[in-house]
Amino acid sequence: MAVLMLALALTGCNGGGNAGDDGGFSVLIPAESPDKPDGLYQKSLERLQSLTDVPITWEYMSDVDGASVLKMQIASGEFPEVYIGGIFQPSDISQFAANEIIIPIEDYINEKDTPNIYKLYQERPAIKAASVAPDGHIYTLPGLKEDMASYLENIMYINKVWLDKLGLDIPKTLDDLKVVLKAFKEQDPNGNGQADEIPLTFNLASSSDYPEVLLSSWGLSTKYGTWDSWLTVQDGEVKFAPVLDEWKEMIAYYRDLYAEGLLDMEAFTQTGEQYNAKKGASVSKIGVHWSNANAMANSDEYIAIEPLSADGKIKPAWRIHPGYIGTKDFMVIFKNCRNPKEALKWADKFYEIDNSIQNAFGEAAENSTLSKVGDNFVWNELPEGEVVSSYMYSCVLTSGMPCFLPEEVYGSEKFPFLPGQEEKKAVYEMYKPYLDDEVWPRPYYAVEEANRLSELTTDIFSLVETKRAKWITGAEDLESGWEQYKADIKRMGGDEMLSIYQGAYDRYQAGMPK
Amino acid sequence: MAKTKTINKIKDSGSDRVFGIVNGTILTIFTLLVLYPIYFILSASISDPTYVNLGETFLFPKGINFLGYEKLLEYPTILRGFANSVLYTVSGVCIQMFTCVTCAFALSRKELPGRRWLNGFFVLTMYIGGGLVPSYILYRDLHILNTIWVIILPTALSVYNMIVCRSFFMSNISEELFEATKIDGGSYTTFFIKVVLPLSKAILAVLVLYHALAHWNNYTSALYYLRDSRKYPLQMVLKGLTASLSSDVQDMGMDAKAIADKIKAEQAVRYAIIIIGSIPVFLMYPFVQKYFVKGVMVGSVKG
Repeated sequence: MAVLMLALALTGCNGGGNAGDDGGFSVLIPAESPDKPDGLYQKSLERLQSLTDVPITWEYMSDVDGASVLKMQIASGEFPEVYIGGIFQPSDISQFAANEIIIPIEDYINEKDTPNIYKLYQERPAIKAASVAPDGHIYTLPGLKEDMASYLENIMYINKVWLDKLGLDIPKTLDDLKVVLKAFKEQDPNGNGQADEIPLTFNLASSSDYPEVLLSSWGLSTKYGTWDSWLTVQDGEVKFAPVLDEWKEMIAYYRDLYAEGLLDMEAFTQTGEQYNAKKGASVSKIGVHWSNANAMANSDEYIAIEPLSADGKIKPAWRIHPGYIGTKDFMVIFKNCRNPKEALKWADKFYEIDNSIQNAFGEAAENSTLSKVGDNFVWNELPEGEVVSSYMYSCVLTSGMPCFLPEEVYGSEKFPFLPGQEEKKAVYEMYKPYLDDEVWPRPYYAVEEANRLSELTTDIFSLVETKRAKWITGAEDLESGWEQYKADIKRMGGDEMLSIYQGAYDRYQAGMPK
Repeated sequence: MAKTKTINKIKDSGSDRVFGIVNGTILTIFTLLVLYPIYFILSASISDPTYVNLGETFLFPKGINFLGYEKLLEYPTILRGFANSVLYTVSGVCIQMFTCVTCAFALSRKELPGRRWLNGFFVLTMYIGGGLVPSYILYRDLHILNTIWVIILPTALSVYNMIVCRSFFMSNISEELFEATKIDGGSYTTFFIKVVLPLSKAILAVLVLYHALAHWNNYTSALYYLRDSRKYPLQMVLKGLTASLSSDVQDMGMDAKAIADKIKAEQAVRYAIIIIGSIPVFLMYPFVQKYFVKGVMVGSVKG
């Protein structure tokens, strides 16, 4: 990136080649191909053009590695006017803003020109707060899909058939769980005469089946990785979960399971495919796991259970994906846009419900995911072997189109549930009382903050991962190593890291109504 | 005396035999090690993905089906990508072979004026490249972006391969042959076409292979310089396909069985992709193989 920006400075910005002003603007979309089958793309373009009186020029690019291609073009001084799509990271947006090649849009947002966006900001202050870049401007337009059940990333599943066979109750606490796991291991519940049961397993590579889910039992919710960085928020204070006492207790719990053979021996080494194969085995092997869907070969054997409490007294805090707030960066306007005002007036129409549904789930047509009957939408029969959640990517213009789908629209007459969606909703209702109300909202970082964080977190995160595996598998002793580990993280800049996160969180909070 | 000789002879042939057996065993093991991954992918591509991931297809395919291939061929872009790749590879290799061999021949002649300087100039380009953004700007200003030329022109001369070829000419085509040609009244062109090329079949075959492989596997220049997906080579199409396969299929409360099936199908497609992507390379090797063995050792000047 630094190289690209240097090149940017060297080449100067001569802007994209747009000849003359016809009152319109050009739009770049990272669409796999304008000649996709079935004419759905053409249909999308016609619908989008019909939302404005000014002419739109369409430009395409591949959505494969789109961000790096587009960044290279930008560095060579070639900008789109309007860009729609979900390929940029927040750090890219900060970088573009710092280089002043995208323009702030907040001055164009008002009740007269952009009534929908204006209303959206009023009704959903969280997405407005999330959209404000560290320099105080808004550069992006968001997409909101408030299908709350889909943001429940982890659901705890247990093999009910095994439970019944062994005459056990559904566990309520971690101690109960251990008893159940032990019985699963020793009493051959799948009845094939082999001790091939895997009482509990998780998948480090998955965005939903990761081991920290269990931290919920101690009243904390967190997630690993680039976006969530094992952070947890308590009363407005951002904390790094891997140095908290609850983390230690969780590790100790896993360690004991591992020592007794109740945790999958391959838990730390298996790939996602191997994990899925275990779930797909024709004779059930897994006792307990957590996933975002009950995608098993014998899914009818499994039921979702409520979060467990560490000791029966602590109320579990279950994590919900912050995506329900909205995704902030689905459209940006570059500085050489001839008519930013027209572009925003046009984009405002995206937030009308009919456009939102088609932007997000597929152009209404017979060969698409859904059709329109009168004023309402109905789901179509899909080609064999397809599921809506992936087929829709070929039926929308591009994934990452601005939209606003409020919670109450899902399952309404206008936009009915899909098969299976209702069940997930029921599970969501079951988890609702436990959902953590302070979720790490993945706020914006300034460019220098993001750079510093990536320096700091590389080492700290790898220490956390290494120690986690070593302690759980018993390669190192947790009790004697814990204080040293905390000191090491401090020495590696843990406090500085946390203060950057806290600063970003405070900026986000400042934009929220009191 | 004679007795000792016989014993010696038996001893020798015994150790020869041992050497042969050891040699053969090691080479066989080595060959198997190289072949196994290919065999595994092939067998995985026709097996039920569940067995593959449970590690049950270690030796033989299990649950044989062609689902992966069927699914893969349903994508209309595959065939187009294949055709594009063939076009880019054939035209690219023709241009590369022409530039490479002629350039190497010229530089192999000691009487070429400024030969050292030219050599240095070519080698320099191996160390210093323009970088991505300047290249992009150059191609844009040349108006070759989004055309076939942006794929085949920037790599029209592979300096490394040219040097390999030049060294071959210098060490294998002896000066006497050139003198003989001259005495017969032949020019440089006659010498090049009638003498040098026929004597260099081995290196030419190897170079065709190198160039073709590089073109066939080329992905980045298509990624950065082609915008129209109808012009994408196979690798780019396959990359797009794998990317779309790994996109989250589970994000809305969907029918669980359907998702499990979908994940399975995609794993099968992934193995099929590897096989489809490498078929042309597999096909090419046997034809080039004979030149590896032949040619190099056959000298033209005796004594």
